[in-house]
Amino acid sequence: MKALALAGVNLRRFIRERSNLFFVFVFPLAIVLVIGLAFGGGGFAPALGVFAEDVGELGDQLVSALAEEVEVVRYDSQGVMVDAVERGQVDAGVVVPAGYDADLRSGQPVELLFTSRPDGGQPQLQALVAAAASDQNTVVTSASFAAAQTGSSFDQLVGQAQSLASSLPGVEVTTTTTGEALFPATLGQFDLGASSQLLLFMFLTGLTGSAAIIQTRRFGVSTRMLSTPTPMSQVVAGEAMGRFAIVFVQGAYIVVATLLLFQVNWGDPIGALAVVVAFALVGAGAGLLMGAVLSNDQQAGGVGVMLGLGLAALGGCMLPLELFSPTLQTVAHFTPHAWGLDAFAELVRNNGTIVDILPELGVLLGFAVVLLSLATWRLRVTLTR
Amino acid sequence: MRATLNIAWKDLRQRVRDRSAIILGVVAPLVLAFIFDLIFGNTIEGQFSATLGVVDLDGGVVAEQMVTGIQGAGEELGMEIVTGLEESAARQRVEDGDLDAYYLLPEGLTEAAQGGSPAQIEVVGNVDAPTDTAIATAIGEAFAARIETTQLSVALVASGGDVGQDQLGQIAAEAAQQPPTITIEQASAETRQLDQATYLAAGMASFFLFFTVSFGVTGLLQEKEEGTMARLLAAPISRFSIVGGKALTSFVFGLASLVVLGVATTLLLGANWGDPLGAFLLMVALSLAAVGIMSLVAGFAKTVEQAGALQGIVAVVLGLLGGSFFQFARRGILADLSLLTPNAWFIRGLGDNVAEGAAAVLPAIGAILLFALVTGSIGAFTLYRKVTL
Repeated sequence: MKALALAGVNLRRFIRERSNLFFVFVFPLAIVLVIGLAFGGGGFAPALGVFAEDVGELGDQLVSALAEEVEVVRYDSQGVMVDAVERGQVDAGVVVPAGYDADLRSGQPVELLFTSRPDGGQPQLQALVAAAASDQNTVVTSASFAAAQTGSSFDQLVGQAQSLASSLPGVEVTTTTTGEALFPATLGQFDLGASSQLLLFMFLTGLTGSAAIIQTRRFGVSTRMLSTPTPMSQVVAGEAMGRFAIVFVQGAYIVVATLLLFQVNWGDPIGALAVVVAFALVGAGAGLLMGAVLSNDQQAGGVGVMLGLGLAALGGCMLPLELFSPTLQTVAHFTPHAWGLDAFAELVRNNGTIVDILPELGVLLGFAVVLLSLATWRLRVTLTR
Repeated sequence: MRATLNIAWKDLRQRVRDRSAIILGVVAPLVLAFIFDLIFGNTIEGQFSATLGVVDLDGGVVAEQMVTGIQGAGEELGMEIVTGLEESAARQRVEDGDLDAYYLLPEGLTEAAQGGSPAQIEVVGNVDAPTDTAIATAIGEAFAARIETTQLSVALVASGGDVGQDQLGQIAAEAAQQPPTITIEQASAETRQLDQATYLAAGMASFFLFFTVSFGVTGLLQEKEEGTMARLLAAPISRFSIVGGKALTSFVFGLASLVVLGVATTLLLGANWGDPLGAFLLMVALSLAAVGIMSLVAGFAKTVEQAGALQGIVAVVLGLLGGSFFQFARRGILADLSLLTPNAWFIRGLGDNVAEGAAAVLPAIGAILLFALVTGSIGAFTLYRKVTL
């Protein structure tokens, strides 16, 4: 089988280039790690900057109450806090004025300064601050009202109010949630990112492989191969298998490495293997087609990155498909990525098996057949140019 | 000088002709910024527009006050409030994600609150809207606290003795009018955060810039590999002009691509780069830094292929760390670490430029020029030593 020998040469040429090893084996894992750490588990959580100095016991109590409602980041000066709000490092900021404790204990009104950006800087967080301050407010406000009404000392009334507050009937606010979560709670921290990055990188690697095919053509290697008693079909098959081998090895590596390192759940192993094989065929086909059509390997680099990242984004590898608008979801399914992600969602979240993902596999194989046939047809012409 | 310009001119023409520089420098970043903007368009991070519903099963005066209170809070905080809902309809709309949360004011709320027995308000939130639900709860709690303040005020006054039952209603009404001791004053900060379209445009432009400029400096290695270096050396031009010509090619290409992208994204995506002068100065500084860094990397490589590979790795790591694709940390060690890249300073400088104009970008320009100076001088030295047969 000369085609197998050609595929082997392609694989060796690829591995000998050490930067390829970085992009294929090191980089994807780093991205899965970073994205899992940054976005996995919990999603977007608002953060509140707090500047509170010399605020006394009541001030510290207030900050603790805030910390129960929202993530609190403390700053050493108001200027630094405002800068952090302006740069979006936190969503809003609160200044607890100096002497907060003393002012409240003497019945003086105090103002908390709430700072937010005008553009979506989440003024709504102000409600959280008000809620956190409400316990103190209730005690102090009612004590000052009673002091005015009865003429008793404010200090004494505050003490009385604190002991009475716990025995009040009160109004309780309870919170429940409803609806079906977009992402089940069992989804691991790295799970969502891992399948997206797997598909993104497999496709990207497939496309960047086109540069090697263009070099083979430009340096006249393919013409010389064809001058030997090797049929065109064997040469084309060899190039295709070489590309497939590289993409498949990367895919399998990412699956196994993320499974071992980050305990990523890939679902049914046979199903996952089938998706990786089908997607490797798609990636190989796309790379082969680009290698057949373009004539300059530096152009191929640029176009490869553009298509690799662009299609991945459209296909739901950068923002989950569930968050797409209905129109955009339809558009997304013109990319192979969306079908691959659907297949993994079925395997991982619904514990599906290979039978359940047959439709997705079928579509992926359809992509592969179309891309590989187009590439073969073009390569037959361009290989000899 | 003349030789430098000649070499740069020839390289520029050659690069424009093979189109790869235009694809990398303009087309790819523009297309990707457009696609990313399309995808992320509907989910602007960190911005919510909560819609809350109110189901009033009580109909009494306390419930009425509460509905008014929620509407007031909604208006003040920029949220939409839907009143007069049936419970089943509200629940359905929350499940569909049509409403983020609804308040359930139960039957007997007024009676309980006025009669001094425990009352309960329920907030039912969509499972995927935790922040909005927390805010809805907070607004409810603030209202509950007002009722509690009145109750406590009455209890305190009553405990002072000699208050008749008939006076309690009057005291409660007065207590309800008592202004809160702790108030919240709003202050508006400026925005130094780029809007989404601008962030994506600037991120993609700065990411691809490094690839665009790498052609020029790598050209030096190419001259050696293709044997044309010997001819350049034979000509009566200094070795310095050869390095200078390559660096100039890189710089011109880099700056041109940034300027074209700046104009194109403003027109096509509605990006806002702020004061044109500030944006241009940042572009000049970033182009210089990119040339410096790519020269340094090329200086370490023996072949064109090796240089390309190393430059690719450096460009991708800088882009990722510098937040050219997404900001993976808003603060903390990772955010500080990203300031070790000129990419992050570029975005930061643009934020200052949008907020305050050209004068505010000087710190960012200083930081970027520092990268340019350090890497550029080492790079120039190593490349200079490569100008041999």
